[in-house]
Formats: sequence, structure tokens, C-alpha cells
Amino acid sequence: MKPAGLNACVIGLALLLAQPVYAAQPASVAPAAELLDADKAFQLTARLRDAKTVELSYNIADGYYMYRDRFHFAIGGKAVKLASRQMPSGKMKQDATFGRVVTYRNSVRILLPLSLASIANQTASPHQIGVEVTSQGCADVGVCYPPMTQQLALTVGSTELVHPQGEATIGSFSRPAGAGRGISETLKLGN
Amino acid sequence: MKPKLIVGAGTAFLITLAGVAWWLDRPVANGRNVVTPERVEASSAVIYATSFPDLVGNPQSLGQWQNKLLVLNFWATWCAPCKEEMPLLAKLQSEYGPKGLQIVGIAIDSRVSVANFSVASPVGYPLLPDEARAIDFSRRLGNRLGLLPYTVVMRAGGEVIFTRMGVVREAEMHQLIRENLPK
Repeated sequence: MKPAGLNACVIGLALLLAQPVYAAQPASVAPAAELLDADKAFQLTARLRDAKTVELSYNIADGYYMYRDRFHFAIGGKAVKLASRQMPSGKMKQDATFGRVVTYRNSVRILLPLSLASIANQTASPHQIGVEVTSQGCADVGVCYPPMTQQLALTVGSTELVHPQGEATIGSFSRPAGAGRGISETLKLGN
Repeated sequence: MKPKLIVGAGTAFLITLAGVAWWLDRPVANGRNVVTPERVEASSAVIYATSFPDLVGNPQSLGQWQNKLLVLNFWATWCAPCKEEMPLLAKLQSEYGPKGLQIVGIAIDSRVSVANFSVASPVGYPLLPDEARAIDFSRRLGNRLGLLPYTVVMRAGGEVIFTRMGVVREAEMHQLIRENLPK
């Protein structure tokens, strides 16, 4: 390409990139930032680490974070007690609104105890362990995702990695853990 | 100066200008440039026919504000950026309320949480909590991912003129309100 042609291309590109400065009008709508769906921003997998432990792993996209104290877990329809879950210490964040909060970035691994009682609670297959996980996170650009509840089914005796089943549901923190799907206070994500 | 040098300098200037433009317009940590262009699906008739319960459980129809410049702000007590922008919204309501502005905070939250919040941080405009329906309603107003905060501005009569995902900008809101208050 001739230098003049190259320069014209560069100038054209520069003008194109400079366009938002002139297009920014107070009462108009500017281009959207690319934000991920919640289940892509906070990717959950689970496996049976051993006969007594469920291991949950989150892969958290760059620019996103999750709140430590907003996780809720239920196994076999029964809420997992706060004291029995093993969660990493995370990163302390000074939040202008909430004060000191613990957040997770990049990845987080959570261990939940599995008791015979929780398996016995299962109403479905005796070989399946139902795990319900509620989580909540935000993006650094200044927006937050509503609480998301996902269901996973682990197979007794298998250490295979599993992904959440079906669509995530939006619930609430006031919703009892282990209430399952279909209650009126849940709405499907990604309509 | 050689022509080649002039063209080179001009190109460098334009690239710098483009860089500055990108920097000014980028999504930033406080969300001030995060805006949704998604189409608003719900008609003004549907919006005005929608009701949400207030803090004592009485249904409040959005139609009661159809003669106002209406700002619907979707928020929750668990959402830090939402709470960050509420003092500004309270200030706007105080300043422009007598001139025809009505801000309404629709909360994806429990009534108890919102009631407690309103006692600790009164805002001077209605707060309507509805965990079950508010997110879905915001989606119909262009909030595809159901993120918070999300703000919609409607002229009197129902024309949606502005939506924003993320914290609203003060100067922008002042100008938007002044230009669109009911005559």
C-alpha cells in the first residue's frame, strides 16, 4: 500500500475512534459496554472430592468479583451450615457502602461437607446428590448481578466434574436455602 | 518541513485524539459510561398499567405519575453502586419534584430490607420493593442482563427517552431533566 493510502486509512480509523466525543449528547444513549451473562462471568463447576466432600469451583472472569458472605448452599434440600463450609479467606475490600467486605476474584474453591443424612434426604435417585448454590457478584464497571441460584447433580462414587443443570434462576437472599425451583419468587435468567 | 513529516505528525495527532476520546468514553470503575442501547419492549400503556407494592404492601400504579417526567430507578440494598447514586437521585427529586419530576425506586429486594434502608437513609421518593417481578419488568425496559443499577427516564405521556445501566451522571441528569420537564 502506498504511504498516502496508508495515511488515509490511519486518519479514517482515528476519526472513527474519535467519534464518541462528538456523539456524546446528554439525553442520548451511548454504546453499551460488553457485559457477560451471570453464568459466564461466574462459571461454576462441582465434583465429589471424596465420599465426604463436595468441591465447588468458580472461574471468575476478569473485571468481575463475588461477595464471600452472599453464598448460600444446600445439599439434598438442606441448607449447609455456615460453620461447616470451607471457603478461602479472599480479599478484603473497603466498600464505600458496605464497609469491609471479603471478595473473590479470578477463581475460588469451596468445600462442603457431605453427610449420609444429606444424601438420605434425596427424593430423586439414591445415586444422585443434589446441590443448590446461590451466589452474587458484581462487575468493576459499576453494576451488580442479582443473586443467582444454580442446581448441580453429583453422582455417588464418581469424581467427575459437573456443570450446573438447566438455566440459572434469579432468587433472593430472603428465599430459604434448599427451597428448590419453581417458587414464585424466582425468575429465569436470559429471557 | 517535509510533506511526509507533516502527514506523519498529523496522523500521530489524530491517533492521540482517538486515544483521548476512547479514554474519556471508556467504561469506568464507577460505571458512569455504562449505558444500554437495548430496545424498550414494554409500551407506555403497559408501563403505566404496572403496579408495585409500597413499603406497607399497598399497590402503587406507575400510571399515577403519567403526567410527570418519570425516572424509574431499579436498585437493591445489596447493590453498592445503587446505593452510591441514591443521594443524587434524592437531590434531583428535591430540586425538580415541584416542577414535575417523579423518581421511583423499584427494588429487587425484600420489603423488610427496603423498609430498614428507608429509615436509615430516607430518599424523599417512593421505594417499591418487589423481588418477584422487578427484574423481569426491568428487562422489558431494556435491561437484558437484569443488572443493577438500571435507570429509565420517561417523558410525561410515556415516551422513554433515556436508559442507563450503571450509575447515572449528575450533569447529564440535570440537563436531561431540565429539557424534558412537563410544560
